[in-house]
Formats: sequence, C-alpha cells, structure tokens
Amino acid sequence: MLRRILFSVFMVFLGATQLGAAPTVKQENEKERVCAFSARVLLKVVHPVEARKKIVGLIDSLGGFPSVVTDQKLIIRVPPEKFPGLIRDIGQYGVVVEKTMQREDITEKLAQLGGRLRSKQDILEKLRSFFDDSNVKATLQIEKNMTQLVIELEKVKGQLRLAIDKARFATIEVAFRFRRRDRIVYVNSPFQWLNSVDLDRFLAEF
Amino acid sequence: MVNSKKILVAVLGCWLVGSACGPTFKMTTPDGFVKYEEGSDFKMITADGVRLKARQVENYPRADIAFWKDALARHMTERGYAKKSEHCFKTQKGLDGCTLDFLLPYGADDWILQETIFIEGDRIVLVEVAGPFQLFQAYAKPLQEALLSFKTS
Repeated sequence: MLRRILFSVFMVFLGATQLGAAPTVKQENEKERVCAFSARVLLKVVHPVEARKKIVGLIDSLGGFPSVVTDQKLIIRVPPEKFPGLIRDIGQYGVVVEKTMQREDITEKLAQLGGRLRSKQDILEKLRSFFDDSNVKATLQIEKNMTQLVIELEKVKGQLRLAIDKARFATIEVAFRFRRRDRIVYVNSPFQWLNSVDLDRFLAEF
Repeated sequence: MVNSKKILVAVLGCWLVGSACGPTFKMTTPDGFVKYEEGSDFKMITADGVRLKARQVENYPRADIAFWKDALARHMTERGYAKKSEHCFKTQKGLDGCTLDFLLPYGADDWILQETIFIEGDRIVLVEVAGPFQLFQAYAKPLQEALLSFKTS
C-alpha cells in the first residue's frame, strides 16, 4: 500500500516538475516507513578549522556534502544509511558536549502532499477543458482560477520536494565550541595530595 | 639479640633500597600496554605514548572514597580541567574504586588525565593515566577492564 502511495506521489511529482531522475528513497518492503533523520552535535575542539576540514573530508568519502560551512558551524547532508556511523566518527574529532538526534516519520506527509498534488492537477486539467466552450468573460475567470491553482500547485511541489530531500539525505549540524588553551591555573588545595595531581608533574615524573 | 639484629638489618636494607620495600601494585596489563619491569615504580606505556603510573598518598585527613572523589573533581575543575566522566566500581578483590577522566588542552591537542582512586585504610592509591584524547580512546575500555583486577600487597 505504502509502495503504491509513494510510487504515485513520485510519478505525480515527476510528471508535474519534469525533474528528470527519480528521487530514490530507500524502501525495502511495504512495512518500511519513510523517515527523515537529523542530529545536532556540539563538539569541543582545540582547532575548529582543522576539525571542520577533517569532517568535510570524511563526508566526501561517504557520498555526502556540506550545505553550510562557517568557522563555528557545519551543516552536512549524508545518505541516511551513513548517518549513525558518521555521528560516531564525528565524536573522534573532539569532545561531544551535547548530542540530539531526531527521526521524523514523513510517510503520511508524503502521502498527503501527493494526494493534494494529484487533486490540484486534476482540477487544473478540468479547467483547461472548459476553455473550448467558454466565452470571454468565462475564459478570464478560468484563467484567474488557473493562475491561483498553479500558485498552489507550485507550493505543494515545493513542500513535496523538501520532504523527499529530507528523506534522501540526513542532516547533521555540528557546532564547534572552541577550547581555549593555556588556561590551566594553579589553585592550592588544603588537601596536600591533590596539589600533586597534575599532567605536567605526571609527565615529568614518569 | 640475634632476632633484633636481623630485624635491624632488614629495616636498614629496606631503607637503603627505598621504595622497593613499599607496597606493590598488581594489575592485569591492559591490551596495548607494556609494563616497565625494571625499577620500583609501577609503570606501563603504549606504543603511541599513553602512560600509566600508580602511586600512593596519605589518606589524611582520613576520609572515604566519595569524599576524595568529590574533592578531586572540584579541585581539578577549579584548575581548569574539564571533567569528562566519572565511573565507580568494585574490583575483583572487593576494593572500591572511582575513575575520573579530565580533559585539558596540552600543546596542540586535547589530553586526558585519568585518575583512579582506591582507598586502603590510611593510604590512597592513585592509578594515573595520561595521553592525547584521540589516542586514549582506543585504550579506555581495556584500561577499565584491567582496573577491575587492581590490588595491592
């Protein structure tokens, strides 16, 4: 059933937009739902620029791409099957301070948008057929209705394109938090042995 | 009289060789580490330079592991170390231990300083491990497993 809905959605979408290649949303069986994955990772790093370069290099090899790149933030898109592995790999480039992951089921949304698109196209076809038998006044009115309908159609197509894109590529936002260096200070503890716990001392005495 | 002489010789001997007569630490060598067999220190190292060393300090004022774990975390945080994680456990010999991981920027990298505390009466045993964060991650699990086997004598 779901396969049919998706197939009809895609067919209508393709027919309406003339996009060419069909979008490929993974669907192995009828029980599988269409989901959009997204995540936000707050990463503490010493060198944000280097960390960013490494992550961008990594996503290239996974068939993904960056959509926003700044010194402080990176938004990347990857195929959904690479999503969990990439989240783990990103953690290697710094300290993950915060991580939120989201899975949105868009099966119903796709079906609804597909239905709306189909009905609006049907109406448009009917309006076109009225042209032949209409007078000037009626023609103007039909044109007005058709213009409005085309605007609505484009809006639905946009929403559908967006939903399909969300399913085709998972979105990961990586925000970098810069870890300042040389900020270790000497604080005297009333407990003597605590004053001996220190990385410099450890390395020097090893 | 003869016994007194023997005791005196033993004490003197111990004093002369220093910590060789101190407590000995035992622990399974974690995967990737090798142990320094020479010398009196309990030390291990990996091929890429992650270091482990055990030592003991006086448990004074005498307190339990919860107290010292808290004091250590507060002190290190005040100094600018970032506390990454905390894990308390019981060794195979029933000794309570707590491992605290601290992060700090060191040179061009982030480093981890891991402190594991064991309380044994009037002494605190510290197992300290340090290394660059990215290298350390590979040893985190074997280390935690090896610490379960830690014991002193």
